[in-house]
Amino acid sequence: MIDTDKNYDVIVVGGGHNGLVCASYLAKDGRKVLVLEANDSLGGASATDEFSEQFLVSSCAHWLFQLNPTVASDMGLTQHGLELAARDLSTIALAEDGNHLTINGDTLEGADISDEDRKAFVAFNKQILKFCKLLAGAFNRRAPKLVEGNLTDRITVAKLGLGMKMLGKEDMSDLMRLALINIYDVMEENFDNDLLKGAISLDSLLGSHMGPRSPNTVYGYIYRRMGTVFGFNGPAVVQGGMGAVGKAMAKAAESTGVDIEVGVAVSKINVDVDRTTGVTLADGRVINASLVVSNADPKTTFTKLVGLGNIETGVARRVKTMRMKGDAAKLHIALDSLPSFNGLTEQQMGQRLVIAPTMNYIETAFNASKYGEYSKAPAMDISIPSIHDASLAPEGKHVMSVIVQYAPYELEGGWDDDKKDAFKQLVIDRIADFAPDLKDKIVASELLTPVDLEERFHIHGGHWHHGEISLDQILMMRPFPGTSQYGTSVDGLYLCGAGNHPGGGVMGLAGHNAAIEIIKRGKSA
Amino acid sequence: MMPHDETMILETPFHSRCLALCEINLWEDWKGYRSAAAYTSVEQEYFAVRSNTGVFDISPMIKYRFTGPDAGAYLNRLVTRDISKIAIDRVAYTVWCDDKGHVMDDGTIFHLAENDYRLCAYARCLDWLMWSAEGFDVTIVDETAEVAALAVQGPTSCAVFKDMGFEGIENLKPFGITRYPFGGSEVMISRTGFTGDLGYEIWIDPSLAEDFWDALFAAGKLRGIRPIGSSALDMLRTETGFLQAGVDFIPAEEAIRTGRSRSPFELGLGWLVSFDKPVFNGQSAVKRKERGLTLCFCLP
Repeated sequence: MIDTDKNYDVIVVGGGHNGLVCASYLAKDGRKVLVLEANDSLGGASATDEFSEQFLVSSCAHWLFQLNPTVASDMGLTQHGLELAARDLSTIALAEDGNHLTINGDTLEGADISDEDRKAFVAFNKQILKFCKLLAGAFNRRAPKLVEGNLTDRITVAKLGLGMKMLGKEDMSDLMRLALINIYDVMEENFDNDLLKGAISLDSLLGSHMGPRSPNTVYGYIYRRMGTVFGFNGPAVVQGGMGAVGKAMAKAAESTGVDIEVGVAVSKINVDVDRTTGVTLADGRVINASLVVSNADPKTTFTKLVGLGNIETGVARRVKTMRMKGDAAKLHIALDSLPSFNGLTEQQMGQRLVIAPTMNYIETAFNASKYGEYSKAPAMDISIPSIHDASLAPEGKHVMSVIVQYAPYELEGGWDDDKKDAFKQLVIDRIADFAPDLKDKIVASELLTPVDLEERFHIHGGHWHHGEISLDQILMMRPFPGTSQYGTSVDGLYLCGAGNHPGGGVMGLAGHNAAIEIIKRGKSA
Repeated sequence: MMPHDETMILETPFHSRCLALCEINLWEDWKGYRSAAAYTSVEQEYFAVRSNTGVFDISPMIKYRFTGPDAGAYLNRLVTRDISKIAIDRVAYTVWCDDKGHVMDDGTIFHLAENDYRLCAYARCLDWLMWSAEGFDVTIVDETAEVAALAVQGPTSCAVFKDMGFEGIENLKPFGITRYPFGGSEVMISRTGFTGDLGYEIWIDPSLAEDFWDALFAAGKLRGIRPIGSSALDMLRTETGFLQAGVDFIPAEEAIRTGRSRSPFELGLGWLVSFDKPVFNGQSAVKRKERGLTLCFCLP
C-alpha cells in the first residue's frame, strides 16, 4: 500500500526478487521503503502463473539452484513460507535410444559411461568448484572499480588475486586459459561421452545468445555452478512454483516494514538537474523520495524510465550497446496424465531432463538463431514440477515446463501467431521423440518467446539475466563500464537488478549488494 | 567547386574573388578548404580590421543544423551553457565536453527559428553529435558546404553595410541576428566575430556568394575594405584573448597524451557552464573538478 502521509526515503521500482531483497535490507537499516510493481504478483521472473484453467507453472525461471543462503537466512524465507518440494535433483541427459545419462553430483550413471569419463568428471567438478569458491568471494560484495580503487575495492581485488595464486600453479593457469576459451574445447579435452558433453554445454549457455563454441561459455558454466557453493547439489523445485519465492520475499520485506504496491507501473524516474526526486506513475501520480532503486534492467531503466536525454552521451551509448537479446523461449504444457518417457520411471521424470544429445546438436541449433531463425531441432531443459508438487495441477494431472534454446528475440520478420504455433509444434514433436504418448495427453499449451517474456516481465530483449553474462559484462563491467557498484550517473538513482554484479539467476545477491552499498554510502547516497 | 575525386582540397564559394586578391599566393588548408593565410601583408591586414574593415572568408567553418521538436533540449544536453536562455535570433558562444568533462571544442550556436539551430564548430564531430542524439527527436545535417560565410570586421564595417542598403544594421546588438533581402534571396547578418572589434558575420547561399563579395567590396572601397588571411586573424584574436581550439587547448578527442585535455574551468571558461540546467555532457565530471576534488599541478 502506498501511504501518502509517509515520506518515503527509498522507492524501489520493480518487485522482482532482487528488488524485494534490496528493499528488505534497506528497511532493516531503518529506511522507509516503498516497492512498486507493475505486475499483480511479486518476484519478477521468479513467477507462477495459471496458463490454463487450474494448471499453474513457473512462467520464467523454473528451477531454484542459486539462491544465496545468506540472503535466504537474513530474510527468513523459510519462516515466511518458502518450501522446497524437491531438491538436489539429478540431471538426466536424454538419449533417443533410451540409454540416458544421469548426472548427480559427482556420479554418472547409464549411457555406457566409461570409467575414464567417471574419473575425469570427478576431477572436473573438483576444479570447477575451486573456481566457484574463488569467485564466491567477490559475489557477495560490490565489484571493485578498475581504477581509483579505495580500500574495500583493493581488498576485493587482492582477495581475488591471492585466491587465484592459492589455486596453485596448475589450476591458476587452467583458470586463465579456460575462462577465455569455450565450453566445446573444454569438453573435448575432458570427456568422451556425447550426452555428458552436451548436458554440460547446455548448462553453460542457457538463457544466453551463445553456442558451445562461443567464447564466454566457460564463465557461463562456472556462473551456473555457483549454486554448488550456495548449498545446492542440483536444482530444486519450489512448492507452489517459483512465484512462491517472490511471495516469501514479499512477506519477509513487509515484516521489516516495507510498503509494497502491486499493479502500479512506474512510467518515469524523475530527475531534477542531475538528481532523482522520485517517480511518476502510469496514472500520473508523483511520489517523491530522495533515493530511487531500479530493479528494472539497465536498458529499461535508462531508456524508458530515466530517458537517454537525462544521462550523458557516453553513458547513453553504453546503454545502447549493452548486449541483452534473449534467445530462450518457455513452453508450458498442461497434461491429462503423466506421459511416459522412453526408459524413465516416474521418479526419474521428476528430475531435470535435458535434450542436448551432442554439442554439435546445440551448436547447429544456435546457428539458426544467429541469422534470425528459430532452431529446427532445439535444445531443451525440461521440468515436470507437478510430480513433486500436486498443487500445480488438478489431481492426477500434470504440468510440464520447458526452456527452449534457441528462439531469437529478433526473429526475421518478427514473431507472429503462425510462427509461434509452428515453433511450438516443432518443440512438442521433438519432445515426443523421447515421450511418444506426449501428444495424446496435452490439454493446453503456451509458448512464451523472448518477445512475450519481455512484455510480461518488462525485461528488455526478454533476456532473463538482464544482460548477457560474459567476460565483457561482469564485475566492474556490469552492467557497463562507468556504471558499476550499483550507483548511476544520476545522483540518488541506484540499480539493484540482475543486470548488475554478480548477475542473474534467482540468487538475490545483486539486490543484497546494492542495499549494502546504499547503506554504506549513508547520507551521501 | 571541384568534386572530391579530382582534388583533395576544396574551394570556397568566394574562391574566385580570394584568388584574384591573393597577391602573395599564401594558402593553407583549413579543414579541407583552400584558405588564404595572407593576401598582401599580415600587418596591413591586421590594421585593416583595427582601423577600417577586414573581410575574412569563414566558409570552411564547420556548420551543423539542428531541427526537430527536441532540437533545443538536445543542444542543452550537448553543450555546457543553458540553451533555453538563448532567444530566437540570438547567438551564444559555448563549449562542449566529453563525459570526462574535457572540452571537445568551442563554437557558436545560432537560434535561427523555433526548433531550428545552427552550430559553428572548429572540428567535425558528426559522430559525437549523432551518438548524442539517442533519445531525442532531432535531425542533424552538416551544412558546411551549403552556407557561404564571411566575417566583416572593423570600425567601418557598419557604415559599409549601411552603404549596401542594410538599413537599421546599426541597431543590431552584439550576438543578435538580422536578415536583409539580397539578390532575390536573403542574407543573414549576425553581430559576431573573432576580432574583438565592431564586426559582423554574413551567411548566404553559395550561389550568391560572388555577387555579395562584389557588392561588399564596391561599397567598402572608400572605407578601406581589404581581405584578410588567417595570420592576421590570429593576431587579432590573440590580442582580444579569444581561444582557438587546437592552438590554445587540445580538443579532448584529439588529445593523445593523457593530461593534455582541459575542463572549461581550467580554460577560464567556467562562466559558460550552467549547473542549474538539466544534465549536460561532462556535468558530473566538471562539477567534481570545480569543487576542487581533482588537483592539477603546474610546474615551472
